[in-house]
Amino acid sequence: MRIALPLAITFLFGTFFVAEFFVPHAGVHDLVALLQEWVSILASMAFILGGINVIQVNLPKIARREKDWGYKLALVGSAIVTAALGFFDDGEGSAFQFVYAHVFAPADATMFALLSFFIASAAFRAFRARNAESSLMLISAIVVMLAVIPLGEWLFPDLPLVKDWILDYPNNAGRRAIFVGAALGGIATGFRVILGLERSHLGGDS
Amino acid sequence: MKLASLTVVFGALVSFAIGACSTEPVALRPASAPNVSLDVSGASMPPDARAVVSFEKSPDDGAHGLVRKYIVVRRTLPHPYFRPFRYVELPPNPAAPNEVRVADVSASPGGAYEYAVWAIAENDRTTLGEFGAMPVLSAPSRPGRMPTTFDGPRSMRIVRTELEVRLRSADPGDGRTVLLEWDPVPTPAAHHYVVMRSTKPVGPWEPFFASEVSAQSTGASGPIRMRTTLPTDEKWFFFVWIVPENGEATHAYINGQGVAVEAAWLHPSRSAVGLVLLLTIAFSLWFLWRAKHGKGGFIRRIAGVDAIEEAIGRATEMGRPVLYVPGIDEIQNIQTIASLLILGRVSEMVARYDSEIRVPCAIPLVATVGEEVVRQGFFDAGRPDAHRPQHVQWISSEQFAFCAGTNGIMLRDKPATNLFLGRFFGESLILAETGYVNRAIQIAGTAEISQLPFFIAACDYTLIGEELFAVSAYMTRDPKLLSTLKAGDAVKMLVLVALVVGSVAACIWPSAPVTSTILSFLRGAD
Repeated sequence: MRIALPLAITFLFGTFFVAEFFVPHAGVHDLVALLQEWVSILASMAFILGGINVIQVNLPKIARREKDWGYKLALVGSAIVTAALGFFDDGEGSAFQFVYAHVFAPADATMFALLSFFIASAAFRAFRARNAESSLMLISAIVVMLAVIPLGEWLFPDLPLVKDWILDYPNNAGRRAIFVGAALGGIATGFRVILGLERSHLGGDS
Repeated sequence: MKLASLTVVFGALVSFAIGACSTEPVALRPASAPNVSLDVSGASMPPDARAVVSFEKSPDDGAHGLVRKYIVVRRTLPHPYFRPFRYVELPPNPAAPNEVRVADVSASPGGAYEYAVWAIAENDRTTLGEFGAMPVLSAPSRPGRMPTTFDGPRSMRIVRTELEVRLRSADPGDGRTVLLEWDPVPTPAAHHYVVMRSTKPVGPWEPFFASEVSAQSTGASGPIRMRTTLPTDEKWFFFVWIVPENGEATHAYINGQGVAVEAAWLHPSRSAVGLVLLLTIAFSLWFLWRAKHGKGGFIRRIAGVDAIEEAIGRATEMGRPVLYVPGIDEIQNIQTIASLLILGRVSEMVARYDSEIRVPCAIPLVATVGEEVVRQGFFDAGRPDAHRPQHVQWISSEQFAFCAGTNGIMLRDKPATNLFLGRFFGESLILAETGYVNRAIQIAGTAEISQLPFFIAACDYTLIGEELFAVSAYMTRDPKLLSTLKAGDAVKMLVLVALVVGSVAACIWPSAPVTSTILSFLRGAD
């Protein structure tokens, strides 16, 4: 029963959602909208579990003064303070808004800004002319990078045309090929999950 | 943890019940009605006005740009139905006065009228109107001499002409979305069409207004079209008023036949997708039959998948954990599901090798399911005692907060093997580069095309697109699972043939009927 019931639910609802894609009847779409509301409710209830998880994972480490326990104390403390502010002092000009605008948003932007440096270091490692394919990739990368900056167009006026051709034809062909393969792979995976051939996501594999 | 799970399930069931009980039927929702007052005392009235209807803007006015239009309607007692006589559209100006005054210049002296105000809301698509009507105010109009000149006609002229409302079901034929179309009515200075609908030919009428149908003058050419969603499946009648700008409705037309739309049960434009689905299922069953009869097919080696076991062994030898990141998308995403399927196999392997696994998650539901999957993996390997629930943790649902937390795990716990399998976005390169700093062996897999270049540049092995979905079947070598892999390959071959044939046909015979039929079928056009 522990495995059979989830499998039955998966089969029923999985089949329904596959069929729903092909049925335009408004009544079916109303039912889908209701089910999606249920999913949102379940997902938001899971945040309670997530909060409990954060406390359960970090509090014992703080209590035992394990290595780097100070970071965990900062995590738990800031989570509790932010949650309390969200409950009791939300709205325009509130402390919660202040924390979001002056603590979270700058930190988020900082992490995002790291990407530019990581791109440079990854490109430095990846773009090496080790063989024919990697040489081709290196040349294409140089052409595309030069073509998008004004200097490239000033040096070689026709470079943007070459860049557009590279992006519109070989690049697009590869992208679409990956799309098709991924879509078919997704269908196959969904088929396996709906029919119960794959069960490891249920936590049981009998 | 079980108590927490039960709490969540109970809370979810209560929420479902509340949501199910309070579901409103699909219908027009009254907007917050404006406060309406009637002035017939003569004070501060225009000289030719019989009455002045003043109202405060609806509380919904300005909220999300909802209410902008008001229709002042009037009922001549004892006539049962209201008719619009003023259309007011307010500019989106927060500084505009709250009170709107509308003069009624055409009421007959001594007549008894009732007034109400409809607040018409529009969504962005301007297909539905929402209205609210205040309880009517009844007052006789001010007695006195009728002025000799009027801004508009003295009374409503109803032209009960059959309005040919052509109706067709809008794509995709859901039985509710319809396209209304009628030819412009040759009336002078027509500015707005107020369209109302009813399930009965005599009313009561619900107004709804589509701003796309801002009426043109008599010189307009071409039919007027509007798209609307009917709330129920029955037959609907339409009543069209023509209202001059801020003027009195001069003409009205009624569609006496009523229109109804039948819902379709099949989406004809998605037949190609259905064909692909049926082919995949058919091929899966065929390859499964072949596997059961000992005719297993060839599956090429996938280097990244073969490297997983080797990487876990390496982590065991180095005494460092394995890091598994199942992506940052919701659990309903197919890539996350595929990743959780792989997590089950990987955790069983980790348990057999007597190593440790860390699974940071961005979605609480994924963390909950992931913890159960890892637990079962350890159980299947015969090592339930080695499982540590705290190693599967929810970090944050914010993208870069999750990235920072996972980087912290990488820098502190220094995993020897990083597995990034699932759906990733901008944080992919940050994660992969941090792992590179640790000199960990990294295996990534995603169907997110925009992130593949970053993983290819920074990771040792990358599973591209469909390979991610093949991992769980590949690792088990179960014939039932491998048959779906072969089915996908077979359909891919058919897609390739269709591509070649279609391209050649489109180049050589572009105008042939067969070519256009096949192309429109594949594109899914109506």
